[in-house]
Amino acid sequence: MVGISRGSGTKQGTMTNSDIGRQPSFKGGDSLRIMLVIALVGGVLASHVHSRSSMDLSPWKGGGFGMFSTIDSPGDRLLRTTIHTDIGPINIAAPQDLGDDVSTVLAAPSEQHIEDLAFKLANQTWVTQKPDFDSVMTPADATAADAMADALALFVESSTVQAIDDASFDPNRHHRVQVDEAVVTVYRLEPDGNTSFRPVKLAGGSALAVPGGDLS
Amino acid sequence: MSTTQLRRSDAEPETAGEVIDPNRLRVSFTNGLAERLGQTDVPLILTLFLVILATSSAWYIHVPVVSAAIVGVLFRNALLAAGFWYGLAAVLAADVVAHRWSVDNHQYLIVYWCLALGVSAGATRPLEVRRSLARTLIGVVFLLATIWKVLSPDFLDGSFLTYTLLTDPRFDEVARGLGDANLQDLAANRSALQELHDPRNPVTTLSLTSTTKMGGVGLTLAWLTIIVEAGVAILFLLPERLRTAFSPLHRLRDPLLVLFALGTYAVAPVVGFGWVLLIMGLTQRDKESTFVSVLYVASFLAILAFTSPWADIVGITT
Repeated sequence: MVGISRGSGTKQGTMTNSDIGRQPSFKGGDSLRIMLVIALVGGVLASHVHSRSSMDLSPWKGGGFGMFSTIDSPGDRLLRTTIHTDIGPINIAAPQDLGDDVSTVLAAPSEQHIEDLAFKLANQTWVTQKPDFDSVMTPADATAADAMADALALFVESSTVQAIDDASFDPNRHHRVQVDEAVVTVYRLEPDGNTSFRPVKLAGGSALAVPGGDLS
Repeated sequence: MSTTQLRRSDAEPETAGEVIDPNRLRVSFTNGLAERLGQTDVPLILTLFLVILATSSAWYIHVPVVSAAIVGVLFRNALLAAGFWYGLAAVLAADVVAHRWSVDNHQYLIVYWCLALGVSAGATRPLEVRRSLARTLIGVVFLLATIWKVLSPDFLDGSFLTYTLLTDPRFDEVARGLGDANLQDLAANRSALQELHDPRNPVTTLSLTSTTKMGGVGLTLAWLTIIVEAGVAILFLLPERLRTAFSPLHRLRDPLLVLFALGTYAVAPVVGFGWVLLIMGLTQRDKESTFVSVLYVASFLAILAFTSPWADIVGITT
């Protein structure tokens, strides 16, 4: 029998390997301690189940241990974000600094989470790059060049629209896009035959821009 | 010859009759390993590695966690103190609560485990409570994992694993080996998925290129997964009175858990999840089974090794 000594100064004493093999039943305080941990697991599980039904929480997240059980993981959900602007609706990619918000919306697309993301998107400083005519036009044509740059900036590919920090806005390089509203929609993929997966809308919402406000 | 003699310094001249016997050295090593792995602080020290390497890297979590781990390594009494583990659990729980929608499930499990270590450290029968909680947590995790899979239609019909085999690069070798997929098709599938995820593109149906075998492979793997996970859940949650009656079966729980961990994390190496399961497995093992202890610790190392880019190292071109 090999004794397994516990640290001195503790009340844990010495335990033998044969003791380790026994299956004890617990009473009193020890039983309560075990129940405390189980109750916590149960509480988180109850919250997970509730969030699953109330906000389409992905089974992969939220402490329910449903990972690798369904295609409906946050990483396989689809996010579409559109800003309605003075030059029309533009599908945009959410800026990287909103990464946490995007993760939250994809995992748990509640009305509140979607509105929070939409509000932040609507109140970013969105710009397009002005074409650079300085190298090909003389100073006398500078006014014409500015007017042309402003006009061309309105014919934008959505990929050229980006959010920037308001402090780095440069009127010589940037054309400010006026945003009225941002719309956020989340889809999940659903099997549709053996190798086809169709998108199904899970949730959507929008938020208006605060006039003159940049919250980035 | 004693262990002390075997460890004499090089400076000490070796005299006739004192030749080190390799067999005795081996026995000494084996005994030493058995004794060390049998000690009850081993799972605690491995837990310190777990919290250092597999929890948030944000400074406000990393700094207190690593500091606590250093204290735990330096002062053994700290490892046996309930407050130490409660503190660690509280820090990790704060991070989980703050990011509760996006953190992976094993971060919850690590918090539960640290809490279990704190709870058991303050118990009148600390080792028994620790073992019981380790066993219960493993059982509950696998029970929930099984329930979610059984409740998920796209898991039961094999769609989920077929989709995963066709799109997840971690499963490329399985898709090629079992499903006859080729790399060009798998790359094209990922490209199609990437385009669908591009927020500027319209939302359309995703069509993947597959093989005739892939659906069957996905379905087989799905049911195999359910059987193994349900088996782990049942064996770990077996009521006390039934453990004796089904003793040989009950002993299978350790190899089954190790089999699951090695099989799963060799393909998708989630170190944190694998480690916390193996640490809890090591904690609850029966008696002085050195083999089971070695199995758990070797698997602990193997899961870390799985994260290495072996294909690049051995020069396999894919």
